[in-house]
Amino acid sequence: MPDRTKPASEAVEHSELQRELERQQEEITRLRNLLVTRDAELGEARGRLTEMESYMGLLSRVATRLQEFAPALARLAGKALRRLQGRSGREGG
Amino acid sequence: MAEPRFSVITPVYDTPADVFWAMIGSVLAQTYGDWELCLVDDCSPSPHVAELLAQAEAADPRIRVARRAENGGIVAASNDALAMARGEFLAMLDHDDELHPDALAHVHEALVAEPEADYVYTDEDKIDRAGHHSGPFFKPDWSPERMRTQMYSCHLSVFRRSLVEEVGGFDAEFEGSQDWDMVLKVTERARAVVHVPRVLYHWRMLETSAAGGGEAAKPWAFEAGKRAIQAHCERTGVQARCERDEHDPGVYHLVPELRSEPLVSIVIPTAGQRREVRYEDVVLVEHCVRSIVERSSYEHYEIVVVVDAGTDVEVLDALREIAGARLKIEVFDRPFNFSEKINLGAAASSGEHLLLLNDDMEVIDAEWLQRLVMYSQIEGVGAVGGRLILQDGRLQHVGVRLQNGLPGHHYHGFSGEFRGYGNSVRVAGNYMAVTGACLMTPRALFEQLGGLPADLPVNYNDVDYCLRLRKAGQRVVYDPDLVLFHFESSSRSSAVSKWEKELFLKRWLPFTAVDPYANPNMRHDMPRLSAPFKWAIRRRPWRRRPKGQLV
Repeated sequence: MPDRTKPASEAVEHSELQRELERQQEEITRLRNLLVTRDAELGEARGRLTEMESYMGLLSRVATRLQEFAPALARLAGKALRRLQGRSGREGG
Repeated sequence: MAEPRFSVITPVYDTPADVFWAMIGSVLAQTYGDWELCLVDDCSPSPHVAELLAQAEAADPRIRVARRAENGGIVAASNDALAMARGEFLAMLDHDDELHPDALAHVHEALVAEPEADYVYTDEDKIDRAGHHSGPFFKPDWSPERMRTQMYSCHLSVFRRSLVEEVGGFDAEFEGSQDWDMVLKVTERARAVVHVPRVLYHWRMLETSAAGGGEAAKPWAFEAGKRAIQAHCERTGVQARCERDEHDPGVYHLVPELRSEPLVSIVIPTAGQRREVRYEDVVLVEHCVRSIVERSSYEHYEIVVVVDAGTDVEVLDALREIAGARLKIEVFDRPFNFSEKINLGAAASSGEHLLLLNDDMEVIDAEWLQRLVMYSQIEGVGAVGGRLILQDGRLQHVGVRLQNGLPGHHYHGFSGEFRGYGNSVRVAGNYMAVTGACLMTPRALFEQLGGLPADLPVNYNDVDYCLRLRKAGQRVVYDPDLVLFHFESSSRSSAVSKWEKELFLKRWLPFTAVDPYANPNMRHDMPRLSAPFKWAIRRRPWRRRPKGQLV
């Protein structure tokens, strides 16, 4: 009599392997989607960082410019103060 | 008295005394004297208003007052003021706002420089009840496409009176957005529109004004804005429906409603490269074409893929399988030249509109082709591009800006949620150029201009084409609602060579020295270092303004 058990068990084994492969494929897809989602979240954070760096660059340039102009601004403020004092003196007199 | 140059139009309704006098004082303080102020009281219930108006009228013969017997709303009052006006130009001033002392002088200067100007607008800022200034809005030069999705010109608006009368004055159907409707109607007929890039109008933030209260203050005004855009689209043949933005009441969107579908030829140059996209190894051009075929709801298009000689046969077979009868394949057998590849593809195509598309793109929205065709069909539009985003959602392209004569992508790498200065990322607008990674242009113009420049094989060829369109009097449009993924520069280096920069500058300066859509007070869409100082100085804080009573 021919032995039919071996091919039957091979077929079972094959279909189990197939199912395992599909499970693994699903898991790969799940993990890939997770990575893509994380990438998008990371992208959002990186984008905001780029925005903030842009503004920070602007602010630091403003700060540098203010420092450059500080002596001139102080002179202007003094001048304005003296002018105001003169005006209030005239109004008072 | 000779007829004045400017009639300042101001409907009045229950204006608090302090802001009323601030408004009157700002007009009296004008350094340009040839004006009249037309005040129309819209039957204010508060008794103090009649007294205020009588005092104002007595203060200066240039101030003229009319009183309505019954309340008719801002449109009726504005039309009454218009009927009183004798000036050649109408300057619109709200009853609680202020003009900069040099406002009319600068507008006059602009009119001298451009005598054909029928509409002039300026930059503006906000002012609170105590007179503190904030939030300056530095605007781009005239941008008709932006005007369809945002009332960006707003204050100060100065119209040629004859044109306002020609369009029938202010329309009650658009009560609350009658000024937007007027800008649209006037600019449809205007010979020239001029922008004065100076803050010459101070919009007071009160709880009852749109400046302070937003949509809550005047909900009907935003609906009227939508109707005004819709009416404009119908008058001008723009095949679209207008919708309001879900998040921002001041932002509107055009949804294409095409009456026909002209043939579109999508030209895709490729070398059949592979790349990892979302952790999967793909052939870029296959990925791109598959997204077009699977997602587009537009029926009438063909795809012309221009492949390098020696491209894998499997790639070509896969493309034929994906796109079927829509596909044409052209073989390019010379060294890499993006321009020549595009020109070859365009010559092999037959569509009324050409769409230049990189192979590293992915279509997202089903109506993407309808959006492109909607704009490409508009008279005077030479090129259309969209909002391109990187794989991780960051911005890749939202229009090309010129800096120091050279093109650049502003906001590159910013978050996908970033709305831009003045919502510029989320509203349509005109630019000097858009990227050739996704650019639709009418075939007739492409052929008329000789296609892309072969002497710029890698970079700047798209910008060069757009600039030639601009020189030919065409506009270049950015549509924020056309969103595609761009897996940027996967096939070649994005670095620009020195010789390319030199050639571009030699060819295009001084035309590219100034970008009209970038306000001179801004740099990279942020205020220039000098802008806050200039802005503060122009407000002349040392000048005394009339307080309380005038006389």
